[in-house]
Amino acid sequence: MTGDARSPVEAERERRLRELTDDGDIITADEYTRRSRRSFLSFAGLGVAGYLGFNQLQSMGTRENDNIPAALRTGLEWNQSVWQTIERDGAMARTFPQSDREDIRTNGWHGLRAMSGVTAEDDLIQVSAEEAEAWEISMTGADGAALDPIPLASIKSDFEVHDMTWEHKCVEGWANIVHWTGVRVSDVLERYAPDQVDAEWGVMRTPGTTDGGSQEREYSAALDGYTLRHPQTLFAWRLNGEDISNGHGAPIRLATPLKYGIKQIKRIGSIEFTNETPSDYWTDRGYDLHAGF
Amino acid sequence: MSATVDDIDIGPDEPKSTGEVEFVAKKKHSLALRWMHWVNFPVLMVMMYSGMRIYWADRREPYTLGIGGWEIFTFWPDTVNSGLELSSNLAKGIAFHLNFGWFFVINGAIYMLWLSRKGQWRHVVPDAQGLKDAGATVAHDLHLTKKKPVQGKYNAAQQITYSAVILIAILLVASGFAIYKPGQLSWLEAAFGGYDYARLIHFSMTILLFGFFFVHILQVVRAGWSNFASMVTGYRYERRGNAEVEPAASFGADLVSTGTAGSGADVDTTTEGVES
Repeated sequence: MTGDARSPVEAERERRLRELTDDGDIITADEYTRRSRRSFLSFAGLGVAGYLGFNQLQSMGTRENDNIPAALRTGLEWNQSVWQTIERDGAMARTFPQSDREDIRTNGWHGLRAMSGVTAEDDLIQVSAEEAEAWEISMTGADGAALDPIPLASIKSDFEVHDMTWEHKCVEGWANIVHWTGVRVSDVLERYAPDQVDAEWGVMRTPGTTDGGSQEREYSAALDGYTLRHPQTLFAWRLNGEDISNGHGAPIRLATPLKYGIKQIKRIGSIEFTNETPSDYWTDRGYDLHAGF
Repeated sequence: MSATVDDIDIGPDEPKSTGEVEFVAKKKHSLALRWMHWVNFPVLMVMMYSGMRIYWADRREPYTLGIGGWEIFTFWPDTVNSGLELSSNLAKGIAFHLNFGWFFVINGAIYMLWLSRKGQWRHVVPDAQGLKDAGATVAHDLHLTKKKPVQGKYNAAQQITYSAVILIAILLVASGFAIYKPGQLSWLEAAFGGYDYARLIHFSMTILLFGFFFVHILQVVRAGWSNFASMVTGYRYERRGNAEVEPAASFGADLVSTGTAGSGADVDTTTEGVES
């Protein structure tokens, strides 16, 4: 470290660095004191304001029965408007070869069980073969009038059957590639609810609650018209090549790669079309109404 | 002592002499930089906390650090979750994450624009010599050597670290969007090798950023009050004319309140010893 013999290159670099950093003003001690006091007071003030504002955000304006502050709900809606603006109309979600399919856990039994204490799949309300055969999806139009129900037998036999494999994503973070067999929702609605194809929303519900049934809680999923009409949105009755189990939503469920699993309602009992912004089971509990990809 | 980068040619009249030592305050960080710097702190706190709520929603397959079948660490041990009082509230986690994320994105975008302004990025991105100097800088910081390489606003180790943090932040945001919109941004999801890898990268980058945060705090404490204050006031002060360097703790608060007191000498040592 003695007799440092700097090369011209090093000297030039040092000169350049000095040039780059020597542009700062120099102020007097008094001036520094003034500025420093002002800066620290502003800093502390902003810190306190930020803290109070955050607390305020958390505590105020929470809509009744909503789990999240109203401002954040507004933010989620704003997010949706951003993504809707850049929506690629008709874009297809990524699909996979059937051989990539994986096992998938059953997750979420709301609307499938008689009471909330049920913790085993075998204890869910079972749909017998006879019940499945007679299964119907009831419908209500956007004007509130009841429409003719869709017989499950018709869904299974009157439309082109599709096999589709995509990655099913849960809002909890996990994902599995699964293979669905079913028919396009759009095909079915075209025949059974031609007047409703332009409805902005369809809210699907599990059966058995509106008539005072004994099921724990009704599950519902609100789906926008774009998703309902999308060619990858299916009424599905087979999962990974096998008839859908009770835990996965027998006898008929929704499957779409455009939305998280919370929107892919199991055991569909009814569809209600509406042009008003609806809510559903998880939206009431603080989740994004759109929950889409 | 030869002229060094941080030496300032002070005219005969200014700044005011404060007795035996001269007090010099020089602009270091612009107001814009200070805002961008501090906005990160509360925003990232909210993002990490809400992110942990999201991560905690699926407890069945936690990320683990390990070699082969040997697990070293599982994210996270129960004590962490209970210590943070992480209730099982995924909905709130998502709502906060997907709202506050924009602040980080916007702040980062403004920072990128600011960096790309003439010269600004030169402070952060190391040159070839800077890359070579990084080891020597660390050795100096660890008191292994006395020689400190010539530097600009930031030393070589800082430049490499800050550049890495910028890359980490970019990966963090990009993987976040890949997880958030794997449909509309399917190309981005594919670029990360799929959904699961995007999540893993998002998580890993968070851990790296968290690691940086701790080293950053440690270094700020080590560097002393003047350095910390400069990120609030914009001005870095030092005293000249006194070769004796005293511990940072002996001045600081004093000096800020009076601007004149203190016998300490916070000589900026960044270029000390170049020729010693």
